[in-house]
Amino acid sequence: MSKLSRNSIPGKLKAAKRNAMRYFSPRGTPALAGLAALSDPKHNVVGIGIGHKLVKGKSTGDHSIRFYVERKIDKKVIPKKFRLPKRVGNVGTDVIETGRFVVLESPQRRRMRPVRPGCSIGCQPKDGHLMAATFGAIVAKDRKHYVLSNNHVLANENKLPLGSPIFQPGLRDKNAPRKDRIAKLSHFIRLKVRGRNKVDCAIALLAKKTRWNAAVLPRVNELKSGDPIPAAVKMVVEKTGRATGYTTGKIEDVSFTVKVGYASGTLTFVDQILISGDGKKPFSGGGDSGSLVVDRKSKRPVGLLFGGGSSRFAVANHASDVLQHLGVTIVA
Amino acid sequence: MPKAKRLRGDFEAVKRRLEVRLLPLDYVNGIGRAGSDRFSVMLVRPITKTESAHIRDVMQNEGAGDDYALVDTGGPFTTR
Repeated sequence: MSKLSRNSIPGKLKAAKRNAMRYFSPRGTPALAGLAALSDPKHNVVGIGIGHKLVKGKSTGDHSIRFYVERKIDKKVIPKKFRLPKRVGNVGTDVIETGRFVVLESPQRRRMRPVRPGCSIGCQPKDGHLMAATFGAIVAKDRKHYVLSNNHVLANENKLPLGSPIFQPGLRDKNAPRKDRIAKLSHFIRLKVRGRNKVDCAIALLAKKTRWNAAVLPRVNELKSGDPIPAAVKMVVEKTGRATGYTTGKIEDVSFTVKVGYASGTLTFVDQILISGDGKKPFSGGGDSGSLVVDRKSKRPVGLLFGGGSSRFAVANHASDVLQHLGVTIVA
Repeated sequence: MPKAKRLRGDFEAVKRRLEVRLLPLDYVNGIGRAGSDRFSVMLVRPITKTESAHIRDVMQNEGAGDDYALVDTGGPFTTR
């Protein structure tokens, strides 16, 4: 049996595939997806390729043009005009059922109503680039409800004026600024390029029409209390973030001083929480900024994630510092 | 005086001095605590013997002792 690699595909096979593509290119699902309509190769064929012909799951060793179909349908019920050819040119064909291919999109990145902590959120930087990070928590102040996240997520590192729109999902995940505006920037703690920072946080007032749910996305779910628990070394923590979803980790340090690279320069943060991943999966990745870090045992907030090093380490502000600076409470 | 006792009272003061001396170094990411009275120096990359000796001198001169951890974080910290 000859091995097939992309560089070793014979010219006659490539020509046969081009021919097949011309007549049976995938077109998508018809509006009325009855069996007869589905059997039309224009709709049922979801991909065309080259491979060895398979009979009962075993390779015969012969090259074939492969038609990948959403559903393999009994020949008897397919109208003659819709049957796939047995040969393309002088190359045999094969039909393989794969189902329809879809883009693999993490649930956190979707449009979500009611909005919930753990999902994608972002601002609209003035330089026009599209961004998205994580919605940390719902917080309250004077009977009003706000989105909590980082300054660099909601205020683009001090650059946006108060009142700037905030979007869910972040525009990098779905660029629909008219439809997805859910809040407006209302307060942020300035980041200092010179000097020492303690928090990277901001809040945005939720629009009256925005429906919300304070429970963090799975598997963090509902908090037992919005009152922060002090971080402690070896505490096992969890978070749900836009980029890496649900992850767990362990607190390594509770008074960590760290240099963190921002677009506006390298900033120094003091009294931070250093978290390491549990070894199976990194605790955080790009786009997880703003995630609420929660003590797995007590289900109370511990920190607000904002930075990370290699895949092993992440850095978070103490939740109590964030709430104190902003004068808000977390809604559980 | 045992190191643990020496550090207990002024751990934060020593840490502040270490920050001033070590954070400007391009290969140092951060300074933390490894254990109750032990510092950890987080590194951007594996360091040379000369760089390691420099850190040891700073630790000794600033009263941090010589029982500290060097941790390679595999790169600089950035926003997430």
